[in-house]
Amino acid sequence: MCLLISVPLLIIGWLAFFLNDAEPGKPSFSLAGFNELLSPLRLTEIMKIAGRALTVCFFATTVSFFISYLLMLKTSKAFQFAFFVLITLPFLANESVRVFSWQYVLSENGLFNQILSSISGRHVTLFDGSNNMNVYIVMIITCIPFGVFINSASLGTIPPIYWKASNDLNLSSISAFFKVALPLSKVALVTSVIVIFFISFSLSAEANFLGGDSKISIRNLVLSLMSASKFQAIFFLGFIIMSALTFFALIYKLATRNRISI
Amino acid sequence: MKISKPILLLLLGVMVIPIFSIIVLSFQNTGGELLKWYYVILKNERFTEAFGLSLVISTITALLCTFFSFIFSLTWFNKNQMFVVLVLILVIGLLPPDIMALSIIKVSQLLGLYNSNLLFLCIGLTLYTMPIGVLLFWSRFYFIPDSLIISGKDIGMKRFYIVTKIILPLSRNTAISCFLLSFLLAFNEYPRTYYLSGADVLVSEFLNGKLSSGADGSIYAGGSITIIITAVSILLMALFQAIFNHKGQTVNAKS
Repeated sequence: MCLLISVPLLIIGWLAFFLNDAEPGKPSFSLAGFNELLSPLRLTEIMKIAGRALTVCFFATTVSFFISYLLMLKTSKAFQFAFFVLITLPFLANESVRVFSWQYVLSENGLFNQILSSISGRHVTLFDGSNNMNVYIVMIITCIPFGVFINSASLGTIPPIYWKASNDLNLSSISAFFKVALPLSKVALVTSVIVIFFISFSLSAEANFLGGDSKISIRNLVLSLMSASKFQAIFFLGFIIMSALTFFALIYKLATRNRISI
Repeated sequence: MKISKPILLLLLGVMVIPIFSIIVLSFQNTGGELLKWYYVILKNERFTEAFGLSLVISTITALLCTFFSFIFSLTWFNKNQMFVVLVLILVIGLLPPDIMALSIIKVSQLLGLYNSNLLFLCIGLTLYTMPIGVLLFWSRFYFIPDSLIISGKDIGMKRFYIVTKIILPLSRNTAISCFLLSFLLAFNEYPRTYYLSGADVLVSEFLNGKLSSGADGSIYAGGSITIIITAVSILLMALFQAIFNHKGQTVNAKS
């Protein structure tokens, strides 16, 4: 079992530590990838990407949990079905087309500014096509469906007796949310935080289309390392991400095993 | 709480409506001829070639993904094996696509395979779509009662026959959904095709190039075509699911 789990990790680990960028035909151990990633320029880029992913992860998880709660407890099965069908469209659509559509909607004369102008009665230019705020907005909206799928699946498995008990105890909707839904969805929340963090870490088209002057993204980092023939650094980054994912999965396994034994 | 539905509809609108803005753009500046940009894009040889190649690659990927997802999802019935597959799909599914694609390229080069771009593109896309396929099958297996499998074992059915005579017929609709979903994911995927397609151009690459460089209205028509294909496929999946749910309810009511 451990051997199978470690196969992808071993492959990328070999590429990260033994791939000789200078002479690809002659593999030899080196920490060139590690040194490259720790250089101030690369480290700043990675920290910015990770920081953005953390922010996106926080907002997307919060909003998605709120959506899932309303969806699973306050709406009919037919409404839930229609909601899940419609929410998959942006999730499945072509990345460039989806982000370009957002660029158009968030432009100076776009739909959002027009709606805000008509509500306020004066010309509003809150969104201007390419800036950092738009990158965050689009990334959060892109990640919400993932959180909704995970949290809805978890909320859907909570036995109805809990909601009946909360009704019998005259708990308000807000109290039921904090005392029933939230504690029983801890695992799902942690899962969605991890999944959304890594997905938003990988998103690049948003920064490329909407980032304006600042186009820091994982794709641009990879392309820049590629053009400098620093492949080891790319695979070292992949090795770190893979190790983190494997670590989280093992922690999850241990945590659930302890819970069952209790 | 009656306010729940309006809030959800508003959030859904914010998430879904912007994607249709490109369809609006495809009907602008047409000089009176409503479908002008659609005619222009469908006469563009590079687009039609890329579109045809994308259809072929996506279909092959969808077939491979459905087959392998079903095989790997059978680990549902053995918790230790299931955990191994869960870790593998997590690692493969959440690794940045750019790093994943480059890893595939490097492995292919180390194996001495330099001229197999489309083969490795299919492998890359299958690895990308498989995690979702496996999760889809697992969500179906969750509803298969253990008693069915136990009954099969009790009457002396071999593992192969339990799979082909019990699990597979009960997962037919999921297999169709998996095929459609993986087809769509592969058809619309950009990062992996960018790295793995070599000299061949697929529709997602074509659209990305034109949309980021700024082109005439025909590119919006091209984008709209992909959105329409995606929306129709999602509706088909929903239809299959609705028929399946309806059948399930009818069977329950009869029993």
